[in-house]
Amino acid sequence: MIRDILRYTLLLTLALLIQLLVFSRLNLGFMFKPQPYIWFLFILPFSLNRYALLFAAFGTGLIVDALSNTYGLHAASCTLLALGRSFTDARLNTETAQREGILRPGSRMLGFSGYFLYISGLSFAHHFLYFFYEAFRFSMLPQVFTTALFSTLGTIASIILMEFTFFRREAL
Amino acid sequence: MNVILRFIRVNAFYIVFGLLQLLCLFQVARFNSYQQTFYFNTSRSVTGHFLSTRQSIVDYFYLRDYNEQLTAENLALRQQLAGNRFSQDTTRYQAGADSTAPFRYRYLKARVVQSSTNKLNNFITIDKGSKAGVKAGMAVLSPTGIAGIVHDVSEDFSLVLSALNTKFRVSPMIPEIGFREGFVSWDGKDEHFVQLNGINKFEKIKKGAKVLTSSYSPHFPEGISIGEIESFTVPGNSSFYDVQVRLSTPFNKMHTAYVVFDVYRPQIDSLNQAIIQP
Repeated sequence: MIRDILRYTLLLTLALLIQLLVFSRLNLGFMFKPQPYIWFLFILPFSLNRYALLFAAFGTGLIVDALSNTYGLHAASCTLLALGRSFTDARLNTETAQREGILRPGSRMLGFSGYFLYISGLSFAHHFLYFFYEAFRFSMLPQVFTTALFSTLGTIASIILMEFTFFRREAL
Repeated sequence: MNVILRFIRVNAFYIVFGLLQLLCLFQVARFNSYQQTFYFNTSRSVTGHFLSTRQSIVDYFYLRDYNEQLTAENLALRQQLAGNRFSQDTTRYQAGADSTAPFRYRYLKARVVQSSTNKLNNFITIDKGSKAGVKAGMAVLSPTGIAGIVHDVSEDFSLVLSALNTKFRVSPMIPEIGFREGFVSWDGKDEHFVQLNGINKFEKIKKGAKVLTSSYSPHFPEGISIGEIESFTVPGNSSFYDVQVRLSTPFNKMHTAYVVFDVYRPQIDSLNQAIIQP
């Protein structure tokens, strides 16, 4: 238990460092703002109950908000992601998976294309809400949509890269 | 009653989600109506030190740029020295024209601990706060031009609404053509350019013309550099130019900021408060 808490705290720190020290400082154009720290919300185990998932997401969002002066944007979009994940997890056969030693959503359970759809859907929901709240104007919806789309591509690419680097054996 | 309780029990998860969303939305809405940020004071003491440490490491990589910025500033100041002029022409704008007038502005030097450029609403965090007398609404300059307006203050740090923020507005002037209208704002796209709105298409503007802050600005001293005109077009049917201004402040490499204390500010504020709302 304590080992798990330590492990996930370390992974959260790693995700935050990657986000805040690298991606938040990159300037790759106004339509390309990947946010790979949400990787942390994908690697949380199935055994975590959905309330805990919701609050973990909210907390993660709040930390990022506090460190990047974004007043609630990350917290809002992370809780939406957690809601989305609790929906999809309820539709997956997580008990069988856990008996087989699969602790979290990954390509071993969903297949690569399934996993790709899973993270791209949830990331897009997160990014869309984030950029929409950031603009806070309906007149900017087209720009919000394209920004969310391109940033999601960047986020997915970095998440898959991180999975390969840190979880080569377990997940992919 | 039982029905309500059952509804709550069944949908508790969604209710918790809804409450968390409302809490965040409340924050977003508060920011958008120009109020103070809710957790700034509490979070700043922790994150401020983290950011300070990070910035002092990053600073080493930019020493060369910082030196160039400061040399450019020194040069600009040297050119403004009264002794450099033949005559004092008061019929048009001249920086520091009257050397006998009392000083209206005092400046406080601060170090930039964080400056983002890749969001729609960017902020700069500086390491001077209410202990040093900084208040919300004060102008902040960089060595080479405008930087932003103080948005929120904690004891040791201040959050500055950067010029690269869709909420930022400043009144410009172009001394070359005697233009003093419209406003400068940012469209959220390129961190090197801001947009100058409200120039009539019959004005004769040209590329490279200097854009400075005007005396109509409630925050900034007159004559601080905003940037230079990079390009201009007239969108179809419009009677105004669409002007791109290249910022003179490199926001992604800012390290020094000057907070502007306006001696007359309290007087202006109390006069403004005396305006009777119709």
